[in-house]
Order: sequence, then C-alpha cells, then structure tokens
Amino acid sequence: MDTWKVGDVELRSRLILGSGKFRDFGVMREAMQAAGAEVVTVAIRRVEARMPGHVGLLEALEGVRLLPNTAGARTAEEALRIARLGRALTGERWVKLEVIPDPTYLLPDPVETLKAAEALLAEGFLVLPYIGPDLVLARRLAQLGTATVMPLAALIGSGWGVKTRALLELFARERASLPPVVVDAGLGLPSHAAEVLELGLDAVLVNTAIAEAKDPVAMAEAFRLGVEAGRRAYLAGPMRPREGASPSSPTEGVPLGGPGR
Amino acid sequence: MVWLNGEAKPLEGKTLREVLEELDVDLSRVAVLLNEEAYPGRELPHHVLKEGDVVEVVTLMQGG
Repeated sequence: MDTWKVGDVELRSRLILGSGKFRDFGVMREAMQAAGAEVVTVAIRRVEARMPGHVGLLEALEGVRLLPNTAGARTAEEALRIARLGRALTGERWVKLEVIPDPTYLLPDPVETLKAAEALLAEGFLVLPYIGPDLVLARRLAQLGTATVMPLAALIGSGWGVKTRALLELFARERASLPPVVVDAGLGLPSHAAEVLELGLDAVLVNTAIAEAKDPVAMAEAFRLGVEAGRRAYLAGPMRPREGASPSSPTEGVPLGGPGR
Repeated sequence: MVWLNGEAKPLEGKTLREVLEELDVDLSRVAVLLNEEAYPGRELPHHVLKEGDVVEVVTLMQGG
C-alpha cells in the first residue's frame, strides 16, 4: 500500500484538511469524510466568559488526528505559548508551526520559525512547520528534526494555485534529503493538488478551497480524487515532454485510396 | 493587577480555580497558561494569583 509517514505514524491520506471557515460542524464533518482526511488542523483561541468553548467541535472531529496550529503567533515566543496550550488542550504533541508577523500577505517568518522549531523539538513536540518555498530553510529544519516541511504554493487563502512551482520542483529533486514535503496554502482547485503530487511531493494541506466552495463536501471529494490522481501519475512515471509533435498513429499504411506515400 | 486574557484585572489573592469558576467555562474544554506553563483545565495547579501574573484561558476553535 502507498503510504507516507509523519513521525512514526503511517498515513494513507495525502490530503490534510484545515477545519477553518466551514459554515457549520456538520458540513465540516461530511467534508472531512469525503476528503478521506486522517489529519485535521485546529486553532487555539481565548475563551469568552460563559461561552461553552468548543462544544461539538471535538465530536465533529472524532476519528481523525488533530493537528493544533500556532496561527496568530507573530514571534517564536508566541508560537511556543500557543503550541503548549494546544498540547494541553488536545493531549497531542503534533503542532503545525506557523509564525506570521505580516498581516497583509500572511507570509511566514523564516527566522522565528526556525527558532520556534528548535525550542518545540526540545520540548518533545512533533513539528510540522509552515514555510516559504525556501530549500535552504527546509534543510535547516530537516537538520533540526522536524517531522515535515510545509512550503507554500501561494498566499494563504488565495486559491491562486502552484505559483511557487519552480521552487517546489527543487524540493521534489532533493526529496530524499528532506522530511515529507506537505504543500500548504494557496491551492484553489483539485488540479492544483494533483500538480503538487505529480511532482512527487508527499501531501497537501487544503482549507479555504474546500470550505468556501459552494458545495464543500463535493469539493472535498474532488480534492481527494485530485490528490489520488496526482500521486498515481507520479508513481506511474510521467512521459518526458519533447520539443514538438509526435504522431500517436503509425505514419505508414494510411489508406488514402491513391498512390502510396 | 493580573493579566487575564489580555486584560488587567484585580484578581490578586484569588486562586486560579476560582477565576475559572467565575468565567463559568467547562474545565474539560479549556487549557490555561499561567505565566509560561500550560495546563489542561482539569489539571490546574493550586495557585494564588499575585501581582503581574499572566493567565490565558483558551479553547479549541476551527482553523486551518
């Protein structure tokens, strides 16, 4: 069976689902099932007085592994705090590390991410860091021992597709020296997910493209199929593009009714 | 003053548990950061709040 690993955990699904922006927990749960997701991200936020907290959320997410994120952190220090709270809430040592100081483009801070990863690993976390498509940073994180690297395809929530393709191709080329590569952020269509998997990268993380679809459950299934198609295409060994046309039918013996060619 | 979820409040002398009871939240659904240490809501340390303590009370939310 074709599987991949995060830490010691073997996963069949190469589609990690973000739980944000769904209009209700019922739709989220159905989308999660349609996506075949085994891992789903969650956020950590302050409670309001007399608010019940995540009533229904944990129930809706039953059966999948929770991946608490550090969304909202602008520095390594803030990310550590949020990660510790996520572990206290879920009992889960997995953390999607995101350190984003820039509210306009929501680009991750490479320096703070590296600092936070080092500290979190020392505290026993399994770290899945969200990064720019920077192979040098990915290697530094790999040396520290992060469980994955998660380079972006485009800006968070943009749906632009694989805008960083040329740089992600380097991740694919150097895949053997990296932990699993999960492309996170910016995917808008199942064909974008297929494109990532066709490159030989390990998985994708999708949220907005599914949650904001008119029919999130159908879109979740479409992404599952896109991921599967891309992965199978990679394993099948795609043809090499050539310079020009190459006929698919024999050029000899064409029955033209006149003198032979 | 004690910092509770980003707001300065006169909570010195109260215990952490008393503050959570006043917030009226389900302890099984929250985690608490006391200064830099995080605790599950059901495993709160006995702690009498003092000037300058920083307390964050959080829960899980949907997020990507």
